[in-house]
Amino acid sequence: MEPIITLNNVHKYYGSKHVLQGINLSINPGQIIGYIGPNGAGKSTTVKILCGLISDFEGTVTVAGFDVKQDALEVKKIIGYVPELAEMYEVLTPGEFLFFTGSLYGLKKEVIDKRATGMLTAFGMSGNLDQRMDTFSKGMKQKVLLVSGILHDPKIIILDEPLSGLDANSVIIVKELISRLAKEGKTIFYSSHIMDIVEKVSDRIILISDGKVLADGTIDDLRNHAGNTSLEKIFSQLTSTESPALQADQLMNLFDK
Amino acid sequence: MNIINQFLLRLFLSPSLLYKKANVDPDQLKLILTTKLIIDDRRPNTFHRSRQNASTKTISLATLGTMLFSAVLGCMFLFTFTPGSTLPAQLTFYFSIYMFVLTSTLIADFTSVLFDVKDNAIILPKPVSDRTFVASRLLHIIIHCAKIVLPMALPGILFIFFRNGIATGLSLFCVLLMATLFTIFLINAIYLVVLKFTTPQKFNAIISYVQIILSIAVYAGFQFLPRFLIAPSGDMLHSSGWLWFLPSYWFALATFFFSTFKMDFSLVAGALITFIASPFSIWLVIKYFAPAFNQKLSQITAGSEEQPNISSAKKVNTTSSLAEILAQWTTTNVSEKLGFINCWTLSNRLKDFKLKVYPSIGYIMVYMVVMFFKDGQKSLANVIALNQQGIVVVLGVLYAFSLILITAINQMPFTEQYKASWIYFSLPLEKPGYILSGAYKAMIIKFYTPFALVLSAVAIYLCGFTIIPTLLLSFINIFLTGLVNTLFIMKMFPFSMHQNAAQKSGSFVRILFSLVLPGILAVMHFFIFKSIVGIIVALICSMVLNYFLLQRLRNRRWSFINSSYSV
Repeated sequence: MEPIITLNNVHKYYGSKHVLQGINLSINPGQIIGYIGPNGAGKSTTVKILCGLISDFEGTVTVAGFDVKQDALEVKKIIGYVPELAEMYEVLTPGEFLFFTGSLYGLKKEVIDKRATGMLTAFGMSGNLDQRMDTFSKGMKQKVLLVSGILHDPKIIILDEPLSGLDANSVIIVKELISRLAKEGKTIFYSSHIMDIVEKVSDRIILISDGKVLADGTIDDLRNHAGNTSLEKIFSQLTSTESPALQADQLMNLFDK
Repeated sequence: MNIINQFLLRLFLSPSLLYKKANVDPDQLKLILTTKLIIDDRRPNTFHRSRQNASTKTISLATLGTMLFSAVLGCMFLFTFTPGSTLPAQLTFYFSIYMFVLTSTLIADFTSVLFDVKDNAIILPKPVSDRTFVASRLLHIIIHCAKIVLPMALPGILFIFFRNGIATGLSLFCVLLMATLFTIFLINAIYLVVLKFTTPQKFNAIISYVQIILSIAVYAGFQFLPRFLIAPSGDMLHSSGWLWFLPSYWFALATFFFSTFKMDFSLVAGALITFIASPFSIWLVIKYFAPAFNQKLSQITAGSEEQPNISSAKKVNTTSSLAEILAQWTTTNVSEKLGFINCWTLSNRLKDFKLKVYPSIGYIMVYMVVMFFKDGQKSLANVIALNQQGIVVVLGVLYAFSLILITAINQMPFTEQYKASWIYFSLPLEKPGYILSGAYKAMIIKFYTPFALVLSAVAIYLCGFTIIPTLLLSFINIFLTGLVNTLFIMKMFPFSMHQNAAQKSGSFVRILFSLVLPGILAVMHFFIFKSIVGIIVALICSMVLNYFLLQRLRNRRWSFINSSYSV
């Protein structure tokens, strides 16, 4: 199968800081990729490169056959990006916001209206379509962002911490939605640090730290390699220099009189 | 969208063929601009922010409000045309004020347009070409300028049109256009200089300081320019060579030249400079400033959050800082100390607090200079002699400084980051009033004591040691004013309420009261100025009152403080 996303020896510097240190990835269509790593590992930089937001990197990145550096606009057309929370114009209503983002993808108003109303209704927000979003809770805003990311029916969906602030029921809906979208052949790139959800939804987990890929495989591969433990523990083993139990001990020792 | 935005949008989008030729997508351009203008209409702008009712929820049709306020400002500029001086002198004054106010208005608004980082997450991942995106930002700024510039310039143009005739009115219109271009150049220059010395991340904070300096400069300009520009005869001081350094002087000469066509050397020179310098400055902006600017902007666009430069971040000395030492000396228990240190530290760092309070320091300084120098040596002689006029000046200066303290105390409860104040509510405090008394003491020491020390030194130098009782009484009275403000006006914890709450009903009466009180005390002080017994009695009364009010503040209970938050 022809991979839909490939990253070939990707390096990225911010000043003298070497943020991505030779990332190589090949992702097939329909896969759900869990992209995990500690803060500052290079997750957001990778996401921004895939979305065509950063072009001054070394190496080659292709998305659906398009070179991200040369054809950023074509890449953007087939990607749905759900940014981290609060990146929205809050004084608009969901209706206005979704019309704006949908129209930038060239969707017709009727299509946007139909899809936006249907999707928001599924999230239990049918009554909020014409309210300004500055009164919304975190979860409600996140739902609008999710809808804006999939409204144009993209081939690839890139999610940056999509579940932050969502209530338990909405988390279940999103998890279900991710699986259904993947079944329809869409590729999901899921960047997060909430391990248990990544563990449950992903076909393949890529763990990066300090700009390098430390582990890449299914959850079973990783478990076999690390001794049948949870993803959280694997993550900790690979990215932390000290054991969490030791660190907790050090914290507790501070209370000793 | 309101009718003005619709009109401007239609006007600026009309050359759609031109946009297509420049590889700009007219449909996307229209969509982005329409959305941005709707957002502008709902977001409070500079004027609203400075008037302290920055409600993001309730303000709609902000454009009309901005334009109306701009027009009111434009009407205020008309006082520069009061008779008694020649037209070039009036016009120089008019252009100076116009350019200063325009700069300080646009400088903040440019930031919110150019540095809207939300665009990075919302528009940039969409299939929108760079050219369309840049064009949308440029047009957004141009439409924004038009909405401020047109109403601001119109009153002056109409006034001159009716008073001095069609030719002068038309001439003013054209030269105002040039002055506006030149102002935009100045703003760009300020931006570039600021960006040269700082990172884009710190840019907003620095621009706030520039705004503070500009607002003080506008006030100083109002006070001093007429004195410098106009001779007692009402004529312009042409002889001063330094006038040529004032762009407003060129614009005034140009306006005068095009209305009279008098072949005077300075008039022709002024007109030439105007019509060469302004287009040249805009050419500079497009050719050199814009590319450098875009380069800097892309640093923000390309993931500024990825590079937190921790090693170069300013190290804050947390152990035995100045605040802690002062708190140790002046507070009586842990709660009061906490209130003191927290209020001291946050007032150092919160941008919105500084933006509201620091200009008042500048205003007072300008006022001091005006008060002392308006009659030259005479006021100084009066002060040294301590005659009737001298006493008025001394008391005026001493009590005027209470305005800084009052501004600081009135602003103390408010910030955009008010949510962090949950900490006070979760603390096991028996008497939360101690937090307030600690905050009050921090404000007194920070925003009054340094000035009191300088004033004392100057006063003792000029008038001798006999002035000490007067100084003491004025200081104690100002402490009292601050205390009354904290006790009866500001009943909340420091930095615990959103700025919107500052605009509640009755605030005008409260602010008026807090300004009148030092005035009343100053007048009372004036009547007992010569009586040492009177001063000593007043001093004792004031100290006793201070003591009792401070105790009352410390004894504030939870029920009382909570009631301030439920209104």
